Amino acid sequence: MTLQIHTVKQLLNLYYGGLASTDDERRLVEFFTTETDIPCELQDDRDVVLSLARLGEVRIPDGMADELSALAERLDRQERISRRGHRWVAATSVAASIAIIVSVIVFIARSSSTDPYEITDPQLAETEAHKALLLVSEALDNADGSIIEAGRALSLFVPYDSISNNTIHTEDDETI
Amino acid sequence: MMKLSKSARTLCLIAICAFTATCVTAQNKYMKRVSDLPGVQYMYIDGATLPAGGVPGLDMSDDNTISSVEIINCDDNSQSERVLELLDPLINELPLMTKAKEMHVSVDLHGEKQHGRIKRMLLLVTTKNDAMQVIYITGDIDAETLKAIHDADIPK
Repeated sequence: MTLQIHTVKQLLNLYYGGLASTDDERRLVEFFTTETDIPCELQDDRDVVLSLARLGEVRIPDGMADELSALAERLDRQERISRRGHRWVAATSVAASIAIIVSVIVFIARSSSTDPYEITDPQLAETEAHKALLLVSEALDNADGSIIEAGRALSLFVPYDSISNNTIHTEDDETI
Repeated sequence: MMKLSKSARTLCLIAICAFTATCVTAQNKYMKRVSDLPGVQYMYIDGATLPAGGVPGLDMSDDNTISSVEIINCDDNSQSERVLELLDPLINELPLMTKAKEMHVSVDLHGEKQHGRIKRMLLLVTTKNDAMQVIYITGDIDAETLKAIHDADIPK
């Protein structure tokens, strides 16, 4: 064996890592072409190296490097913008949530503080509510009484039944 | 980045829940702004403070509920106009049901009635010397039952 197996393995490592020199590649091709007793573990590597060696030198178009670097820059810029946008959205959400929570806490704190105007004694509340309801009830009763009185007064001019039906009949008997 | 979004979402959810809870438990003290005026007495009664059985004449277990009762008493005639000014939006919001004038007293009754049930009612009593009493009741009360409170209270 012209090359030791471990040397071949080292060269293959360099080859797959893209770090092999032209001379290294030539040595590998020479080894896999001339050597007949290749270990099983290197059979696949032999196929790869020889197949690629048959392809010859790949010609890279002019300006390809520039295009690739421009593309990389563009992708990088897009990612930065997108990341910045996401960061803004997240920051705004957090700020808005904190603002709402603070407002709610302040509101609850204010609401829970004793209101000097609120009657909390059930007995007093009942008395005051009863007084208020009595006044409202009286006004409501008087309102209904006034409507009935108005109805009676109007019945002097038009039939009372028609007033209670919320309608007024004209001389032509047309319902208004 | 993903973790931050998740925490932001959690915060938003907590905030929405807290806000909803606050809205649900919030008291509507429509006339409280008047309480700061000098010479004006303001009282607020929350429906929850009232006995479960209701007040005399109004059985609350019988589909009648009172959410709140607000009472304003103003004896200072210089403040009456200011009180009316502050209550103007509320008064305009509710249709006038009746207006009565007797000697020295004027009574305005505004209310919101739906299918014979009273949702809101505002009573405005003014006397000749500009003393004023305002009562604002919210809830869900049967109009006939409310009217009957007065009848039941008259000694036979």
